[in-house]
Amino acid sequence: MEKITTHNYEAYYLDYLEGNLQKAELLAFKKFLKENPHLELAEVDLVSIDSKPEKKELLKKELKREETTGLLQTDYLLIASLEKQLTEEDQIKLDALIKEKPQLLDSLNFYSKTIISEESLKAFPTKSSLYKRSPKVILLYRSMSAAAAILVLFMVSLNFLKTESYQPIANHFRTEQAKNLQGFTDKLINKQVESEILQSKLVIESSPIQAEEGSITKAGFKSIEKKEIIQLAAKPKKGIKPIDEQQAEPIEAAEVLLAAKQATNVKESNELEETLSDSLKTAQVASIELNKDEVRISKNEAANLTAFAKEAIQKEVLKNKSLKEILLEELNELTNNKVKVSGRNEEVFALNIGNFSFSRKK
Amino acid sequence: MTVKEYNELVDGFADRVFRFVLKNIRDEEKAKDLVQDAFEKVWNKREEVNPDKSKAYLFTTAYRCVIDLVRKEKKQANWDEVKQEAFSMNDNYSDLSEVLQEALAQLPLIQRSVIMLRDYEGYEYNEISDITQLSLSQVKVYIFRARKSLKDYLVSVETVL
Repeated sequence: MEKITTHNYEAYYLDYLEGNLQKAELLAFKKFLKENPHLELAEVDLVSIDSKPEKKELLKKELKREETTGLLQTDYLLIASLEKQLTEEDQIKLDALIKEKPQLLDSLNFYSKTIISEESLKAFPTKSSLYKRSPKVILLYRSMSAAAAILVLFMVSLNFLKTESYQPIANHFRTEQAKNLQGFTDKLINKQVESEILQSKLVIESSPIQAEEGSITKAGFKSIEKKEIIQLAAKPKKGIKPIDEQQAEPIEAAEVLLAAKQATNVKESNELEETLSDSLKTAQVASIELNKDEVRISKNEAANLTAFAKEAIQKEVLKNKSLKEILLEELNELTNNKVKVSGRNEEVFALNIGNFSFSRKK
Repeated sequence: MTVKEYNELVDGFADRVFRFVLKNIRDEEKAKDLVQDAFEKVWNKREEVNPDKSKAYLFTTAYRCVIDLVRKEKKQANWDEVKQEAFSMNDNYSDLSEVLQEALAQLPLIQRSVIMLRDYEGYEYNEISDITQLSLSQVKVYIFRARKSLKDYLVSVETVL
């Protein structure tokens, strides 16, 4: 037989009970029982067993294994008692076993100690990372989205207003590529205007109608009474400045005529009346045509010379003309060649419409 | 399962699941990861989890995580191969609880798991069967064998002392 251990000592014991153990095996079995006094069999009087057949039967019962667990019948019954898994039949068997062998109560006591009591729990260290947030997160995203949408709308409206101030309305329908091209063209124009003005030191001066008995007090005239040195480069993107309502009041041709008559003391000058009347009408028509595609100058807006120069260059930019040439052409066209545009010398040009004049100096 | 119910599950059982996992694999860092994984899986399946059975689902998930890890690392100890002589006994036990914890640590994974589910969490056999995917008779066998092993260990320690 193999060496006796806690796993096979029952077989040795059965062989011992049957008288099948050899002398050496018997000695080994007795030695094993002495080394393992906790085994229930250790308490059995081995010598007396041989003489009591009824005890043999009892021990045989104890040594039988339970079918499902493979445990000894006594162990199975004790554990089942602890686990409250005993049937009525098992309970009767256990009671009989304990009655015949009270030492089994000690074993039952040991089994009762195998129930692991609730110990103090060690807290899970990163429990906070397990929590999930409520849908407030989504609300936060919504509020952020709303804020972003408002911001975008604000920027779009800002851009829209800015565009309205100096960009053609047609730009709204341009593609992105066209917009980029337009931006590039605008830069070129601004640079050209800046360059030419700086080179020629363009000075456009205007003088009021010479009044002997008082001057014209209309705001539209006042706005061009003083000399202006137009520094386009300094304000390349500055749009047409609308004047206030009082200034925006249109000047009637009749008023101009009256003022001119008063200024020149000409009572009945058909020639002057005709010239002024035609010039103003032509200028109004030309102004409207000039601006209808690009800058919408309403009656409430006064085009300044910066805008005029810019528009003129924008139209003629591909014709490789200088600002001087463009201005002269535009003024001639604007006035239908009915006003005299002349240069005082090579460096000075002037525009005279009656007593209303513009001059340009290098 | 709502977010609130999930967070209540974390409040109530994170520590318990951590103990369950830690005692099975005896590696705190890995136990943390497994608990995280288990809760993450519960969260991902929250729509399917019945709130009344969320605890059992959590332990089932944690148990499977442990099994997967042990199989992966081939750390599972085979109780049948463990010789009685191989038990390492600590002579400095201060109380029964320590002895029992030592004995518990030496149980095979499945026996240890079912015993902990039984004793710590108070599950019935059929509930343990659901969690571990074992048959009812298998649960019974593992619990009975675990009790026998624990009792033998206690007796042997007492004999030594």
